[in-house]
Amino acid sequence: MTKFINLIVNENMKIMHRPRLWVMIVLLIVSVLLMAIFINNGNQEAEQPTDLLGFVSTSTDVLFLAKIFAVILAGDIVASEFSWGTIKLLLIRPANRTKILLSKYLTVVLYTLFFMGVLLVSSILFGVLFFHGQPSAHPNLYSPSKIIGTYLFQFIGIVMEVTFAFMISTVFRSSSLAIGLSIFLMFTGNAFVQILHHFEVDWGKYLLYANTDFTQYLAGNQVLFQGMTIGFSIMMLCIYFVLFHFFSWISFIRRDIDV
Amino acid sequence: MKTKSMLQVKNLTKEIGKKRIIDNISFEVPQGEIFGLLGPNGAGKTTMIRMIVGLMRVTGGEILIHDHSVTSQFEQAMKYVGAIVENPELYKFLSGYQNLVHYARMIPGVTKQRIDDVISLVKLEDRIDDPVKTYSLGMRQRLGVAQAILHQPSLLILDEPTNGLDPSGIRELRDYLRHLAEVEGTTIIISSHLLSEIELICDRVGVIHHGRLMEVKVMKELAPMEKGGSQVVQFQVDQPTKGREALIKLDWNTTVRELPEGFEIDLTKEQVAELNAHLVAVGVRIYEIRCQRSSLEDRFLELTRGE
Repeated sequence: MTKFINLIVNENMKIMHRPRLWVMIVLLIVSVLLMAIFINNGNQEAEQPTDLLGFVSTSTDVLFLAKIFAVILAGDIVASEFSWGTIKLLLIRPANRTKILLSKYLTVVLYTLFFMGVLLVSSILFGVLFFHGQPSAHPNLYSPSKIIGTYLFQFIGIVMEVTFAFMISTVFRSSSLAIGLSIFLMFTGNAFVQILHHFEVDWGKYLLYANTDFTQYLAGNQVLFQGMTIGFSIMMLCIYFVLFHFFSWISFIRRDIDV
Repeated sequence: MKTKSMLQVKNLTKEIGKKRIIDNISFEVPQGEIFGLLGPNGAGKTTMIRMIVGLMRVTGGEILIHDHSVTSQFEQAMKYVGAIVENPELYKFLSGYQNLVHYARMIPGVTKQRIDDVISLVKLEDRIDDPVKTYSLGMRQRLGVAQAILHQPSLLILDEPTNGLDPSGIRELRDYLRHLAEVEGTTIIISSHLLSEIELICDRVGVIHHGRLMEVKVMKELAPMEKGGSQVVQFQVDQPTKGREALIKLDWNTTVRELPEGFEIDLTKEQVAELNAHLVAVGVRIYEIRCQRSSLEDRFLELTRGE
């Protein structure tokens, strides 16, 4: 009944008209700018990039900020409708709950891409402004294909965390729980996997965080747990992805709205 | 005779845990009728309304809107429905206009012209571009009404619609709802715990208590004097004692209750005129004759009291 694209336009409107989005965008741009200034004025002897390609490559570190912002949007997008009470007026339209939920999820994924785009564009912009001319000391270290690879791998990782935050948001109907738990796991999850790796605890390979880092499969790197392959990681991520969506969906379409 | 049923509720039951919130309720509302759901707080009115609009799942029975099941044909059924469920919670950081555009996008066929018409109907032209967080409760309520009628629904469901409205706002809403029902044939369901509100606007009233539909009454039946029955009438006179003596001489088989400045008595319409003439004839001065239209209240208290 309702045109699906309209639902996405609506979700976008509700994100766009809140000041926090603009704070996030400004923080992303300022982080890249500060990084450019520090590297430019810093110690020249260290392995610092000196050209555009080097800077764009180095600034992918700021992707963690894009990840946090995407998780904040994901953790909030369903739960806030419950805390505002607006969910009641949203779900009495000729658009079933599955469509509403899907439109919210896709909006968050689009914003994830948007944040990554802001990062890429601003790092190119500041790279051109601050790092003209002299090629880097280690030309083999940086290449456009490596940059694209980093963005792609990071995108997969971010989408997994976003999907997790989205699930918590939907199941528990609480933004603070969803955002808090997701960010907590973001920081501790990898450390936990490293500990398991250190003690060679084999079931660690089934954890989400053991499978989000694809760089372990690049030539010359060692895998976290014995027997892990790229196929195994893709399969694990698919299982997690489907499970997260299943729990979100079943909880969203079946439960009563009693706010 | 209106025959088409806009809303059919059949053997509706709702259980939450082991508790039965709604117990086997059935009723129908024909097109163009204003139907009131009356009941004390916690009787199940809001649960009832939430099930009709699909916010809560039904445990047993079914709900049909325009012959479409809310459970299995949700999207078709909801095309016809506009609603406010409890307080109209809107997006506070958006303007009133953006809120309306938001809901308009979810329903096919709402034009820009229609949005503007609705805005002027609820008299929000001056403030429609301000953020909703700056609105008073009454303005939010009016914006809530606006989003409910945006797509000209044939079934309008209002849960406690006059919360936060001032008396003139209530009056306007009432007139508008009457207009919708009579001119546009909109079916309206109103829930309230306020008797006076229901009394003034509804064609029929269903009394809900402890999750059961106790009774469905046509409002006209509740004014028995119009149908030749008797009703409590208060007389205020200058000489109460003389008045009562005169009344006893008439030898009507009714009970008289004394009041400080007169008396109260059960009378039919004709008897009121007769008694009035008689009192004047014996020289009693009458200051006021008042009909106590509390029959719904009596009935309501009767039904919900004592368990």
